Formats: sequence, structure tokens, C-alpha cells
Amino acid sequence: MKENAVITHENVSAFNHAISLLDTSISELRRIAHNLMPETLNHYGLKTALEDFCTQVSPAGPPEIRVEFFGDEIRYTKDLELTMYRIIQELVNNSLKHAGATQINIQVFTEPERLYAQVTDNGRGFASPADEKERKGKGIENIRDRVTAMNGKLDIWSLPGQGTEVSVEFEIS
Amino acid sequence: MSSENSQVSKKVLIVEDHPIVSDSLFRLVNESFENIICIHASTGSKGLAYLNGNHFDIVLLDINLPDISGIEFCTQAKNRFPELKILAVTSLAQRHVIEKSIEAGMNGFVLKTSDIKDITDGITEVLAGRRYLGKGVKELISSRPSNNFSDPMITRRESEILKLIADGLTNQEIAEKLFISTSTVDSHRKNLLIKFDAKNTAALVKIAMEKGLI
Repeated sequence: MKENAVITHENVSAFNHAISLLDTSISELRRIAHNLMPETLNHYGLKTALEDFCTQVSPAGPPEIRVEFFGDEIRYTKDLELTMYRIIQELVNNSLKHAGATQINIQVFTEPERLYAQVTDNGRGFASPADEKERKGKGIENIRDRVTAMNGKLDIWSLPGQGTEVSVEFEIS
Repeated sequence: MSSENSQVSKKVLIVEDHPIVSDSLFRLVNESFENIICIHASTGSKGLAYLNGNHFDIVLLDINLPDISGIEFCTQAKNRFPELKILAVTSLAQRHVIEKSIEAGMNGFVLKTSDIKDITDGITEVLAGRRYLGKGVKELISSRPSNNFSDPMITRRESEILKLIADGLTNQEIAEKLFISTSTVDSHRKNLLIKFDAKNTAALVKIAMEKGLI
């Protein structure tokens, strides 16, 4: 603070509170901007973008989010990378919000002829498609639409109490 | 706070495009240190030009610059002046940015969301030849998602399929048993081959048995 500035005791706490609100708003804005268009994805590709995303949603865990990449780092079309990124984001959010998972794993296989990803968790899981719909709300339907729109394949494995595994694959023509 | 060696003045170059931030840094440095000279550059290329013509002890560097990135600036500056100290002062609280900065030879990293003392400490430490990671930076680096596992994780679907492959079932038979399509089975089979670095299904089964997975 500058020497000649006078600030009363009550004002100090109000000032500090205002600063902390600003800090919160800034980080919130950053988070929203990042969700709208992940700049990291365009610049550095899926691997870095996903690692950043996981650090952001669960900085110190739990849940622990583990990201594994298999294959050479390949850049796909912007559309495909964004679709895959969004799907993984949605699946991780599902695991966090609905499944109550303490461990989430993301595995991505990058090959010239295909892009494959699976997200697994140790959360509540579900038994039937009806149950699935109830648990996950619109999330999984959204993913199904995204996958279908880009001619991809979707595989879901789940059992009550044993977690959920969802895999998505796109062939590169 | 006074600089450790008050006889010799230190020269600071601030590379920052936002006037409010560069002005604040300028004042902060002048008020916190004795015998210090500050120069300001609003772009990376202007900053590099200053470095070419003058001796500087330390650069306070923004990463998000209008022309080149701070990381690129750091690489170029360090190539020409290996002794030059560079402290990143940035709002980019992202792990890969910090990692790339350190790879490029950055001596310190402070976040703009941090407090004044963090920045003056950073300047003091980096000028003294030590590395400085400001508040919140260490946490960002240590939160790195680990990616070098001895063994890749096997999903339950993969383990189901692995067992059925070991039992000698074909893709078609596995697909019928698990109510999934043959192409899905094939995808999982491909993934398993990659995960275990196996040339073919026979090698895959052998490795899986050695690892006690089936």
C-alpha cells in the first residue's frame, strides 16, 4: 500500500473481501472461457488439453484422475479433436457428479487409422438402460448423439456398485 | 527491502504488454529495491532488441505477449545471453506452460494472482542465482497427472475379453457372449495388443498369463 493512503480497519477487511471476490470471479471466468473453447486443445492437442482439464477439475484429488496415452501423438481434424475432448469431459463430469467415483481413468489410443478413448470409474454404476438414463440424466444421450453424428462407436459397461466404463471410437477415413 | 549489493545497480527489463501491469511492476521494483534501473518493453521483439543493445541482469516476463510467446522469448534470450536471469510473471496458471517455461530455461515463475512479496522474493532469489517457484506454482507442477506407469490399467471389459480370448473364443463368439458387436471386440483386442506391446493375440495371451491377469 502507498504510504499516504489511509484505510480504516473495517475497510481493510471489506477491501480484502472485494479482492478475494475478484480472484474468484477471475478464475471462474477463466474456467468458463476454457470450457467454451479450450485454447490448449488447438495449440497442443488432446493429450495436453486433457491433462490440463484433469488438473483443473481435481487438482489434488480425490478423485484421482489418471490419464494414459497409447500410440504416437497424432493431430486429428479440429472437429474430431473437439468432439473427443467434449465427450471425455462429459464422461469425467458424469463420474464426478453422478457416480461419486474416487478413481477415474482416461485412456486414449491414437493411431493413424483410428482415435479411441475410454473413461472408467469406480463409482456407483448402473444396471439397465433405464437406470442409466435416470442416473446420468441427459449426459449419456448427448454423448451418443455426438458419437453417432461423427460415425463413431460407443460401448458402455456397467454394474451396480462396480463402476462404469465407456469407450468411444472414431475411424479415420 | 534493499538489494544485497547496494553499490552495484541492477538492470531490470519488464516485458509486458498491459500498461497497468507493467506500471505496477515498474513501481513495485523501484520501491522495493535500491539501486535498480527498470526498462519496459511492450512486446517480445522490442524486449529482445533492448537485450541486444544493453546489459540486463533480470527480465520480468509476461508469457502472453502480442507478438511472440514468453516461452519463445526465453529460448531466444537464453541462447544469446545464457547468464541472463528470467522470471516469468504471468496469469497462465497451467501446468504445461510452467513445464515448457522451465524447459526453455526460465529461472523463476510467479503468478499474477499472487501477492507482492511473492514477486519481490522471486526477483531476489532469481537475482541470487536460485530458481524460484511462486505460490501455487509448485502445487500446479506436483499435480501432474502421472503418465509413466509400469503397467497400463486394464478395464473390466478388457479383462472379460482377455479371458475369452485365452479360452480360444473368436471375435464373433465373444461378441455374442457379451452382447456387443464384433467390431467392438476387435477394437478392444487392438487396444490390448497396444497396451502390452504384443505382436499378435498369441503373444498377448502369453504376456497376460505372465502378469497373472488371466
